[in-house]
Amino acid sequence: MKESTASTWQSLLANLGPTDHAVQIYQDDDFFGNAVSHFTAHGLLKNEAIIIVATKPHWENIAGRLIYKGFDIEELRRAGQLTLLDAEETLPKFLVNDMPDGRTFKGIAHDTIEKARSNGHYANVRWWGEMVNVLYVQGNGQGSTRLEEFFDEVAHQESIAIFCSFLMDKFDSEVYDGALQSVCRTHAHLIPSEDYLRHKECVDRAVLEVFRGMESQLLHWLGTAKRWSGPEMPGSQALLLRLMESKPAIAGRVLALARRWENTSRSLRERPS
Amino acid sequence: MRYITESGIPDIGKIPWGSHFCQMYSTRGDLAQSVISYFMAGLINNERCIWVTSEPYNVEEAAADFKRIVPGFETMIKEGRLRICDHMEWYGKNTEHWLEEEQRSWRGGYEGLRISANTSFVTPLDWDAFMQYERDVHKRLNGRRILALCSYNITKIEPTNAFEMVRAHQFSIRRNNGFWEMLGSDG
Repeated sequence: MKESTASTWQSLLANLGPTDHAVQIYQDDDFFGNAVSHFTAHGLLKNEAIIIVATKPHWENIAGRLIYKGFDIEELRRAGQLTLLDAEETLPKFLVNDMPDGRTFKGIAHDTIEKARSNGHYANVRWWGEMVNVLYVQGNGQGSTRLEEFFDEVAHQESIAIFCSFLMDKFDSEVYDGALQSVCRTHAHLIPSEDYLRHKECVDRAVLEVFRGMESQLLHWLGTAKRWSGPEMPGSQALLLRLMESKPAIAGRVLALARRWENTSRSLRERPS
Repeated sequence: MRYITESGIPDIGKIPWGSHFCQMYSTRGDLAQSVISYFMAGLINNERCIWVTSEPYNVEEAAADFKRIVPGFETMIKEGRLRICDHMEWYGKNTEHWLEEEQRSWRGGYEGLRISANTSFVTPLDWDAFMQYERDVHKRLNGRRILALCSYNITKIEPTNAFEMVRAHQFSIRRNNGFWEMLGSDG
């Protein structure tokens, strides 16, 4: 695995370079909005062109946060630095029998990027989009993966930074049946949680609890951890993926406990003082 | 020129030059037994040895144990064949430092450089940076005439950190039912 070198998702998204392809998996709108607006704001501050392909409710979430950060959305659109496309209107333009048509999609993507560059006014382009997620949420996993692959090709051809968001529960064992592994195959960085430290705490506590009385087995399993060639991600998320691969029954229990720890810690934080 | 050398660690046998591996220890006794044997093998094979110590086994204790077991200890120290230092002396030095030490070993006519460092001084706050250092060491040691054994007190490391630690090394060793066993590999 390319090891996680960025200690937080904030520094990763702020400095995402051309051809980088990052993804967050999220469950709550705050984490979603924080991450996308952070990615967008840092691009704007670096005088990069931004392309957002969002559903209406999500655009409202993102726009609200950008306005709060002091950006003038209308002025950015007028100046051509911010391009906004509606995900649900754009998707049907290149879907054929529920599958994305590569040639049509790439044509739309290249045109959009060329316009965003504004005749070279903006050298670098950042793209955040959720068309892939829309297909995934609709249950079209195959179409979603195919579109992600097309995106990855475009990112490399055009040297643009791409950020995606997937509505997925990181502690749901069903997600590990292939969906998350698919996401891993097409991205260079995986952001599994808003709070890496809490994620690590929950996973560590769950692992220790599940392996209680079997510490020798735990050490043996940890000792056989292999390097892997997937995306960069926090160690605790890599551990979950590896555990699911080698000990699925145990991994299911670890995920359930980790979720319980996360819920407990969230309740404690949200409890009024 | 030989490409493998005797590890000296009971039950582990010979390992290739350039090996960067970690040891999961849980007691001071495990640490003493394995690391002294490891250095003994290096000294027998005319390798230059550097031992970076930390709690629960400091410089004085390590030197005293070595002196009790190995004849000619003072001469080895004086000649520079064996160096035992505190982690504070080494802390902050980058990977390049070990490559310079390797060159020094060559110039001194040694077969290679054998290192061991106990990492118990690494705090949770330093962990990410230290893993980055380990990964860097891992890349740079490949193909070098260096052996590096990193000792980790497994009783004080959380599962995620242990997982990252193992992945930052070529392979790991641990004591199981009284025997040292080798686990995993880059493959």
